[in-house]
Amino acid sequence: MNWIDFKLLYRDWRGGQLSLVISALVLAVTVVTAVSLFADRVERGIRQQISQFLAADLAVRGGIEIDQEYRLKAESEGITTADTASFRSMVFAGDKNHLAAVKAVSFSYPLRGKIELSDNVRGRNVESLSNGPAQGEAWVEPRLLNLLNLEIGDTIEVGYLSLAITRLIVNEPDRGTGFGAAGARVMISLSDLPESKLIRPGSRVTYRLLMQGDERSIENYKAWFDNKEAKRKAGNAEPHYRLLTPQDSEEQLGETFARGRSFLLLSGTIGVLLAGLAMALASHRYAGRLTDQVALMKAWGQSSAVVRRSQFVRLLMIALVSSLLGMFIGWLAHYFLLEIARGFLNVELPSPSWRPWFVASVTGMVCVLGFALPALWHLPTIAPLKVLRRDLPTSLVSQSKRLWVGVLALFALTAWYSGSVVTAALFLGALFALFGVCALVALQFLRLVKGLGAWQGSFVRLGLANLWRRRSQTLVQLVAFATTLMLLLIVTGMRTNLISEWEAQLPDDTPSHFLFNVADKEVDAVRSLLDENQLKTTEWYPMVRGRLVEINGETITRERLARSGGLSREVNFTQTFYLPDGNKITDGQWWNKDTENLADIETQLNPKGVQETLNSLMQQFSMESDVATELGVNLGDVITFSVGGLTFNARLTSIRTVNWQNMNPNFYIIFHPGLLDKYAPNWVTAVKAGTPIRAEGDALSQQAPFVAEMVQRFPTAIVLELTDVVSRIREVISRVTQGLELILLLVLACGAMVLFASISVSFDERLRENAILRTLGSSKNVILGALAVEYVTLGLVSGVIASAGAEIVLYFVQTKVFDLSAQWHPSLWLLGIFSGVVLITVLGLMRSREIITVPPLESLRRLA
Amino acid sequence: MSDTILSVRSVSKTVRTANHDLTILHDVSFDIRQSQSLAIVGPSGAGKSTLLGLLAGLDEPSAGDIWLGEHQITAMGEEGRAKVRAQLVGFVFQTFQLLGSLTALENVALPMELAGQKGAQDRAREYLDKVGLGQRVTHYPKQLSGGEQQRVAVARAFACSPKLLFADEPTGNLDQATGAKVSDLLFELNEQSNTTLILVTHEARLADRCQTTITIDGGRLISQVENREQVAVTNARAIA
Ligand SMILES: Nc1ncnc2c1ncn2[C@@H]1O[C@H](COP(=O)(O)OP(=O)(O)OP(=O)(O)O)[C@@H](O)[C@H]1O
Ligand SMILES: [Mg+2]
Repeated sequence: MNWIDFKLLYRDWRGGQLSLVISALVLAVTVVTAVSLFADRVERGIRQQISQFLAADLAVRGGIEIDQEYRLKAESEGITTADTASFRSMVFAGDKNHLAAVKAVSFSYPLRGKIELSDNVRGRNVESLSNGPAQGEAWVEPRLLNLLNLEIGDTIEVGYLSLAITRLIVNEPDRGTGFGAAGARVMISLSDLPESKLIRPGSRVTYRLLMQGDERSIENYKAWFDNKEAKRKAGNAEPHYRLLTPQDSEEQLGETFARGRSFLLLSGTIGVLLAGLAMALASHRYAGRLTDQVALMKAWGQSSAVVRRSQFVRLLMIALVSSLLGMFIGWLAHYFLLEIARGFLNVELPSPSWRPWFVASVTGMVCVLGFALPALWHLPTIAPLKVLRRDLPTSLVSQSKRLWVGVLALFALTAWYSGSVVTAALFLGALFALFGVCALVALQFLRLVKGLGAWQGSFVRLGLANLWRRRSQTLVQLVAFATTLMLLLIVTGMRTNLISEWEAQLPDDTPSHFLFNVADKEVDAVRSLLDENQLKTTEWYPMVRGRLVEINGETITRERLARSGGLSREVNFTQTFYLPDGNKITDGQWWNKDTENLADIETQLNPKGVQETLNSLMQQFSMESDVATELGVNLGDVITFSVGGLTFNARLTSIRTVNWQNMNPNFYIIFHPGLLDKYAPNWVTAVKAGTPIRAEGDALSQQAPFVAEMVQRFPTAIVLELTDVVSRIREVISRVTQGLELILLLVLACGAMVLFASISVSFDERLRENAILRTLGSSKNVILGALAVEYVTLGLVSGVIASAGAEIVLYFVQTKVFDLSAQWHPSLWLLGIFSGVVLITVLGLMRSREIITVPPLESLRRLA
Repeated sequence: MSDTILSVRSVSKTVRTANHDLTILHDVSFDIRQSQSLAIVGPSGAGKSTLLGLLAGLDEPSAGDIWLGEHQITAMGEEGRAKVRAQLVGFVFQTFQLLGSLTALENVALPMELAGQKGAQDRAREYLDKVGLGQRVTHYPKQLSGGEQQRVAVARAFACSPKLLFADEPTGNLDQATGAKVSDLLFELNEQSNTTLILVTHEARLADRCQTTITIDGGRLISQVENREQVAVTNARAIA
């Protein structure tokens, strides 16, 4: 490496020839750094939490109490144990109540990690304990105090018990991640549980047996459990328990986060693409400036190899400095992302790993190699003779070759970010298609505008003519701006409009509450309670949970199940005679009276085979059409179901679409009545309590009066308030889109770079033209006017294209995803066009300032 | 003669154009001795610049041989010629060829810096002083007049103390008075540092100051004239 290379580089920088190349690169690295730092820290934070997630080394989980033999085995292995039981239940204080997430724990809980507790609402004086509350105590989340208007030391009623609130929970190891349960946590002692009488047959409780021990005994236990499980499977019996290991949860989340990270990085890729485009344009100009220098160097006897080396050293320096700067700014920017995410990510963030830095520096390097180098590649081959014959052509790398190198670099980066060549190809394909469409539309606009210019005054005509004359540049600017602006508008539109539009379009009789887990014998009582309160409900549906085991005798693999977005391992089944509201049969036939009649007829004809016939007629079910497609099942297929350890077969006789928007209880799989009778179903319905769903903000809504009574009289039933659910969804969407908006703002900055770079490309030409115009007597104002017309038009067209594109996307989201009727978004158009015009005009005039301010004589001399 | 620094033997240059071969130079031969000055004159399009490029080793002739000192540059590849150029050759051009992003001082120092010479900046300052621009070292080319720029270019060419200095129309873009100043400078430095001067020019007055004038027309060397007066001066100096 030669000192002179640094000197040359410094002088290039001083001469302002590098600033665009460097700013574009810095921006690209900034975007990628911010995004991957954010993703990395959140991911690692959550992973770290997962290892404490169990609050143990191993846990057995079940929906029924953990059998004694699991405990005995642990004891025999010398494993320490603790127990927890979690469920949702109403807690009361005076006339207030709250549907809380209750967790009863044994005193030895937690085995791993600590509970962080505080004695004041502000969360000061945090104390970490590794034991649970004593009998008679309740530890609660601080927000419960607000909700119920309580203070520390007050008592709350939990079932039949009165418990004193002694401490506030700041953090608990196995709280779970992310989005959390709706209710506030109330932690009580396990020894209080029986007396509370909260748990009754049919209650939905999750029991956990937590274990802690040395590695060997834990391994032994695992082996023992797996062995037991294998035998059970062989006997075709349903498992009651699952073994939880920290690794399990980690694997699952790992996948989710890999997906999240690549999604964020992909949106960052758009920024890299634009920055790359800007870099390529700026490098092209930089190469032009370097031509003389290189020709001179070669005439003075520098060999091509030396020139090439000098070029590489300079580019390396550029990459290094810009990447470092980009990483620094990206590091600052990622704090904004974290700030936005903090509301719903309650995790402690570890410092980032080396990976984001690696991603950022590779991005910087690839950008330089893919976008800058091709434009500069020909320099060492410049003939020294060029010092004498300036007209000698330079053997520029052909435009198409440069394009390919750029696209290849981008593709490599995208594939690396997303970890998938297919994703990269699809993503870039879609992006380029978008660019193509934008370019086509923009070209039509330009044609139109050119026509307008013909009968306008002098500077308007001049500006519009310029736009058309340099249309390839104009198009690059238009496309870069229109697409980024469009993405920004889409995201903003979703955040500000979509949820409220969805809420506004909900019919007035949309249910406000869901009732779950109502026991068979409670249904009548609950009905009369609702009647007394003059509340309407939807149909009552019996519900059992079960699994799909085989399709036409073939075992359903996990992968096949995973293909369907709706189905998980356990599915809610129902049976009903009438087709539920909002369901439509698209294929096959819903069972109706005819089946009964048919049964009657057959029974008459064939008295002996009564039972048989009935069974075969009953043995049918209906499936939601999306799920059917995803699973690949067709009418007539026989599926084996498993409920509560028993299996049965049924034939698919109809396929339905479901209107998920009506907020009624909806089911993927509905059986012919009678088929689920023997499985002791719980009942579910939706109540129309008239409380509007449209709760503004995130305040927990007032509870409808019937809820308290419901919960008191039927403590095992679960009441879910839709308002809460909606405000939670709103919160999540708003935060996710805010994060995206921030990233897209960075992308927009990259778009501005493209504008700058493409103005630079034509800068000398403009300088010369305007100098000539001015020497010919045009006033400064005419030239300024022409420039303003040019940029305003550019802004207007990009704004219109961006708004139109965003409107189209929102239309599809509204009608296809949310099943809403389409709606115009005038505010979006206003925002799009306004920001397009203002941004482009201000940035454009800023960049072209010199064209007007430099006296014409100097312009001409500079260009000589 | 043993102190011949540049020797040209039957040099022709033919270029391939779209449909036919165009011969720009036909069979040109001449010699020039160390520390002499040579003017190449001729009408526009005669092939002067082409010849200069060949002499300086910037291009290869189609036929014939050229020796620069003891180097037969026509037998070398571009890399070899580059080495010879680095050792022997300096340039002054019609269009100055100063780098706009470098100050006068940096422009002058650049070829020395590239060659890895120590004290490049001091030497550059010295030569800028010599051309009368000692006060303008930190100025950028665009802040200098045409004549000043050309003087910077001259300083740059001489600061490397080349054995041979090639100049293509060094005064072509300058008015008469400024042009005269620059050519004074060229000859002054030529005398001071024994640099051989080879220049292409339209101007009779500039050509007259050279010891030898060769005229090119239609790619052929049509005359080679020794300027008596100049030879006499040189001889007198050699004796003294
Ligand atoms: N590479 C080339 N390809 C085609 N024609 C060339 C090439 N190089 C030189 N020529 C032609 O050869 C002729 C001589 O060119 P040259 O530049 O040497 O002329 P010149 O004597 O320097 O003229 P001027 O006084 O105008 O500078 C011109 O007609 C030029 O167009
Ligand atoms: Mg010429």
